[in-house]
This record gives sequence, C-alpha cells and structure tokens, in this order.
Amino acid sequence: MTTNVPNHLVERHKEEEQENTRWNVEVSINSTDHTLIESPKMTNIHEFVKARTIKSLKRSDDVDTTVHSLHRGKKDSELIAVQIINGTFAEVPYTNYANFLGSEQNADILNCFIHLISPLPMSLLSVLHKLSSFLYFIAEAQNIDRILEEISKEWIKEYPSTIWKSNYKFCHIILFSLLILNTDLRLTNEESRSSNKFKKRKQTLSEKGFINNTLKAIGSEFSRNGEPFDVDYKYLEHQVTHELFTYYNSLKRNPLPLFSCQQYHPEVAMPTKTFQDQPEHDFSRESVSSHRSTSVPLSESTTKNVGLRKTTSATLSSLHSIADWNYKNNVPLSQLYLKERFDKVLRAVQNPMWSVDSIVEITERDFERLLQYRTHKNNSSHVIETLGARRRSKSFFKWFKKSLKGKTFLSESPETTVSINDKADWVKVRVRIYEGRIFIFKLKQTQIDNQSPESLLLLNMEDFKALNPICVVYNLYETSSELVQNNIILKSRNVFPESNGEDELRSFILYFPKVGKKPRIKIEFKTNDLQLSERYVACMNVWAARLSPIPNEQFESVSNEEYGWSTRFLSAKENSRNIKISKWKPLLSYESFSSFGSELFDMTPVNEKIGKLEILVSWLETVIDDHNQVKKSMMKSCTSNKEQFELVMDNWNSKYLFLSGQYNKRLLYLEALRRLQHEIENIKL
Amino acid sequence: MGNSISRRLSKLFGSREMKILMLGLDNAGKTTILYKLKLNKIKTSTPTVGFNVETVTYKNIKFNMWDVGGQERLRPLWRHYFPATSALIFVIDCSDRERFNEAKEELYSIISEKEMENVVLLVWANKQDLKGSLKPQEISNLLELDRNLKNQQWCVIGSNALTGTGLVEGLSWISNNIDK
Repeated sequence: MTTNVPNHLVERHKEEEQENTRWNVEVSINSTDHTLIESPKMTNIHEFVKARTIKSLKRSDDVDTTVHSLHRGKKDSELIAVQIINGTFAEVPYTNYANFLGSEQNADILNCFIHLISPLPMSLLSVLHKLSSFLYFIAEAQNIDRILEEISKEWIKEYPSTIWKSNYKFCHIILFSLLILNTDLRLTNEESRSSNKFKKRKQTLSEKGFINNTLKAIGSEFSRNGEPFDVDYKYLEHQVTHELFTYYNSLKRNPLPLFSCQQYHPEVAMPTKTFQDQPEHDFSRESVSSHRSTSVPLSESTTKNVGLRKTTSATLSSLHSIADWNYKNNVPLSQLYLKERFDKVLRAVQNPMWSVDSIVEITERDFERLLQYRTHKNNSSHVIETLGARRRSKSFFKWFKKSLKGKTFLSESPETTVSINDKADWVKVRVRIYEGRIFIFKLKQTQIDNQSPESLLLLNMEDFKALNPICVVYNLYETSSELVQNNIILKSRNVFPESNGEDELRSFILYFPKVGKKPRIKIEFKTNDLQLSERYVACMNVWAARLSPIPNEQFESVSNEEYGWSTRFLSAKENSRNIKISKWKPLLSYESFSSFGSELFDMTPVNEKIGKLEILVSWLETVIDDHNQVKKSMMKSCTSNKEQFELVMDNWNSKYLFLSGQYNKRLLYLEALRRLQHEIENIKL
Repeated sequence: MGNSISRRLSKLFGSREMKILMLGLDNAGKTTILYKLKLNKIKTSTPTVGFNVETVTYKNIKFNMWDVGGQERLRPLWRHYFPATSALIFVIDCSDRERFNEAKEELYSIISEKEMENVVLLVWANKQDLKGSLKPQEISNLLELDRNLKNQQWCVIGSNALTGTGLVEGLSWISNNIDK
C-alpha cells in the first residue's frame, strides 16, 4: 500500500481499472441489522452504513425512534445519499446530482455519499473512475472542487502511508488535474470526429504540459504548506511524474465513463429535463407561420420560447374553438409583455392603441418576403410544399447573395417605397395587431372581391377558416413603423391641393430589424384611409416599445480600442503617433437575435420605461452632439496621413449613423409610450 | 442547428474555431451565462465527465467555452486551459463589492501569465439588474485595465445573465477582435 514503487502502482492501477468495470450500484436492502452508529474506528463501516441506512429508511417503523430523532439530520443526509446512489432522489434530476452534492450546504450529504461508495481504490485515477460510475459527474467547477476535496480527505484516511502522508491537498490537486485532462481529451476526440466544417484549433493539453502544470501546482502547495514534510521534493517530483505519466496515457485510452440513468435500478424514475436535455436554440423569429389552413394544419413554427422550441400545431378551427387570439390548438400563445391594469381596460374598449384589425393592401413581393423572413427549418418544407414556392425560395437566396455583394446603394431595391409606383402588384390582406404580434391573413383575390372589408372582419372564425387564408405571424420586437407621407410628399399634395387628396399616400411601413446577417426588411401596407394607417402605426409602435428592452449594454461598454477620437489619440503628435486604429462597428445586440430567448422581451412597466427612455434619449442627444464636436479635431489631427484619415472618418460616420438610428428609434418608442400614457389617463378620467 | 442563411454564409466566409476561457469567482454567473449562450448550435457536444464545456456557434465562429473555477490551490492548474486559448472572458458579480478585490486579483493572476499575453480580454460586468451594482465604467476604473494592460485588447460590457443582455454584445466584440 504505497506509491513508492511505481511499477507496483501501475500494476495496481491496471487491476483497479479492470475492477471498475465490475462495480455496480446495487445496494443491499435486505439486511435485518438494527441501526448502527458510525464509529471512526470501524474500517468497514461503510458496508454497514449502506445496509443499515437503506433498511432503516425503507422500513422506518422498525427504527429506534430515539436514535432516529437524535440523529435526524444525519439520517436525512444518509437517506438522500442513498437515494442518489439508487437514482431515486427526485428533488433534482440525476444529471444534476453532482452539482447538488457539491454545493456548500450539502456537505453532510456529500460526506455520506462518499462513505457509501468507499472503500476507494488506491489509484487516484481509479477513484475518478469509481466516482463517475456512481454519479453523472458533470458539474460546475466549484462543485467539482468540493466533491474532489472530500474524496481526497477520504482517500488519505484510507491510505495514510503513501508519500502524501496526511496531506490530502496534493491528492485534491491531482484529481482536479485529471478531471480537466479528461474533459480536454474527450473534447478534442469529439471534435476530431466531427465534421470538417470548422478549422480545427490547435489543441490539446500535451502529456508534458499536463505533467508540468500539475507538478507546478503541487510545488506551489508544497512551498505553501506549513506542515513538516519528511520527503524530499525532488524524490516526490520523480514519483509523481511517473504516476502522472501513467494516468495521462491511461486516460487517453480509457476516458472516464459518463454515468447513465440506465445504470440505475430499473424501477428508478427517469430524470426530468435538465440543461443537457434542453433542445437547441434556434434563430427563427418568433411566431412565424405560413399555411393553408384547410388542407394542412396551421402550424406555428415556434412559440415565444424559441429556446424550448415548442412547435405547436394550430389550426384555424382550433382558433375558433377557443375563439380567442391568445390560443392556438388550445395551447395559449406565450405572453410577450408585462400585463398591466390598463391592458384590460384598453382591450375591453377595443382601443386602437391596443389592437387594430382591418383589411389593407400589401404587395405580392412584400408578402413573399414576409414568408421568407422566417428561418425555421422545420417548417420551411411545409411552407414550400403548401405554397408551391420552392422555386421562389431559391430565388430569394439568389437575391440575398446578390445583395451581399452590395454593389451600390441603389441596388438595394427592397428598400424603395412602392406606394409611389403605380405598377405595384397590390393584394388585399387582413392585418391584425394584437398583444405584441402582427397577424397577416392573405385571402384569394376573388374571395376578397366578393365581400366587403367590413363583412370579412365580421366573419366568425369558422367562416374565416373556410376562406382558406395563408397566415403569417410575427412579434413586433424591435420593429418600427411610420407613415410613408412622413418622408414622401407627392407633388399633387403640394401643387394641386384641390385634388381632393386622391393622389395622397395613405401607406405605412413596418421595419423588421436586421437579424444576424439578414438585412433589415421593410414591409409596406396601403390603406384607403389615412387615419387607419395612423392607427396601425401608433399601435405597432406602442407594442414595439413595450416589447423591446433598453440597450444600455451597447452604450455602457468600455474598451481600450482606438477609433480615432480618444483624447490620447487626438493629443498625440501626428508624426509620433503609433496607435493602431480599429474599425468601429456597433456591437451586435439582442436586436439582431430577436428569437434569442423568451426573456428578451422587456417586462418593465410602461411608466418606468418612459422614464428610462427619456434618460436614454437625452443621453443620446448629448453623445451625438459630442460626436459632432469631435469631428473637427479628428479632421485636423489626421491631415497628412490619408489612410489613417479615411479610417477614422469611416469610424466617425459608422458611429454617427448608429447613434442617429438608435436615437430615432428610441425617440419613436418614447413618443409612442407617452401617447399611450396619455390615452390611459384620458380613459381614467 | 442553424438556419439555412447562416449555413450559406459559412460557406461564403469560412469558419473558425476558437477556445475561450470563462473565469470568475464562484457565484459570478458563469454557468448561467454558459447555458444562456446556447444559441444557434450546430452540434450538441457529447456530455463529458468533468467540467461544463459548451460549444457555441456565433457568426461562423465556433466558441468552446469552459466554465473554470476552483479554490486557490487549484489555480496553477488553470495553465491546463491556456494552450490555444484565443480569448478570456472574466465574469464579475457587480453587486458583490466585498469580493471585488478578490476578483481583481484572480483576473490579474491569470492575465499576467505569459501564455495569455496575446488573448483578448472581455469582462462581463454581470448582474447589472441588481440595485447598487457597479457600472461597466466603474468596473473598468477599479480594475485599472487601462493602466495595466498596455498591449492587450480589452473590453468591459455590462451584462445580465438571467435575461441574456450584454452577452451577444460580448461575443460580437470578441469576434471583431480575434483577427487582430
């Protein structure tokens, strides 16, 4: 029982490795022994404890109540430890047992657990093998730290005559080091088997690196350790090097096995969902759907909780059965906003700030882009099949690739306003803004022509379903809306005011934000009524303002990157300036990942949000002023270095455009919320 | 998993893989961040005995993020993580003023290692939602990064691991700077 003979250790380690495979987690529950109190002098107490604990806990009526009450805390810990070993501890999923055991407040349970799996093997690597054969051993670093520390203490107790004497800390270091190595080796193996999509990073922890780093950690502890050591460090180093060498190669060949729930007793309940079990996130935008409702179930690509990817199947008939826009297929749609007291009132009075529902026009091209804006792969085939739009789908990507080349600003045709183009191909759609979402229903032209807009809106859901619409649903997160005539004034309005407004633009635009590499899209709607357009714009902006968080992180970040406007840069002499200029670009934010997670929707109450937006807008005003001010100094300071001049000016422009865009959008939101606040006050009066 | 457009873009722009270490005192929010960042994963890594390692794919760059920690005697072992590390993320609990100096010492103990001299440093000033938490500018001043890190790129970004705010911004900053 010593580590002084390396060969012996190696042999022993091999034996224990084989033994590892024979371990099982069966714990006897047939013992009829009475309750035993652990004695530190009993070397085989663990076997007794195992049998006794299970018996006493399974048959609590047989237990001496006095002892039970006296040792209640300990018994509870033992019970939980046994349940963990059996996989029956239901309070946490088995994949989280290691985190549970490693947490500070569960030290007693951890202690019991270690006693239950004792005796420990002599080889430290085998200790890890044994541990991971009893436990799903993936945990946070600090929890792993605590588990391994306790194991080390136990190991030292069991093997007091090794070179480590009673210094469990060295064993702790080696165990921790081995575990890092295991993760690193396994990860590298995993990657080498994976696709060649990614260029491999140079990897991994080499044998030499592993040994040196571990020795260095041991050396640090050795020099810090106040206890007298009757071992020469050089000798110890030699011994440990050999040991680590053996461990490294063994671990490389034979990684630590990951415990599986199948290793538990068959009647053990399956664990509940955990982090590892969670499905992947998806980039798809929230609530996008497209379908023919009668032939194929109306399927909503995702609910709000994209992270959970609850693909719901919803039909218009189910919409009808609930007779409420909050449900699809009897499953409630997720709530995107913080419900406040006024919401109930505004909804009841059908206030246009809260909901708008009408028949408007959209161009075929815009509707197609709306269908394509969603990215959910699972649903795409359904959409394409239903719409017969596979060919068009390809052409969309062709357009997208083309636009990436970005030859000229003018080539970005999707940004042009179509209302001023008489030849645009307009179709009628029903557009409903409701609880932060926009629902767009496209009907066949003949169906629309046969009925008045009013009658269409009055149709009950069953009748509406019979019309077989294609439906698209998006949330209004980070969107912005405006009236076309805010920017474009047709000459007839000014030159021929007597034209009874026939030529007036009554359109409104909805901008969806840039998502990842997908550019911002602009969708235009045309109405016959300017007031209706204004109602849509106001309603959509209110919802966008309520849903979108305030991007303080974007503005508060601090970095040492130089863009050409810091005091340090501007005050340095140009010819002696040796500062690398970085290219300025805004940090991507949530705006770019509108389906990032369910929590991205802001839940700040409207009143509080108005205050925050006021602060942000006023701060942005100052920043834009400052940015304008600094331009002059920048221009002066880089006059002789053309390359540098262009770079810093590009940076200045990029930042200016960004600040200006943010200012306009947040101001729009602020005004929308102020109007809402005003509306609420009026209703109260 | 990833959308078809990002896959197409991967082909156009190529892909990279990098190893990122995420460090910080316990309770700083590292694990919460790690799981929050599971966006657009191309492939779920097989769980491996030991530490939480997440592979996050972002803008054609694959991040291997390690949740690293442990008490003082284990810190020399952090060298295990250094080979091929491109960026260091340091997470600070901005509401825990009492442990700020401890966090600062930990940061410098790792960033001053020779192997780490070329990595970019992102500090996530976490728990911004809590009242009284230090702002990124204050964190930056207290860490004295400007004075101590002359040759390294660094950035401090406010974050909230629960809601995920500031996380995308942080990755965005790293991906903008790793080519340099």
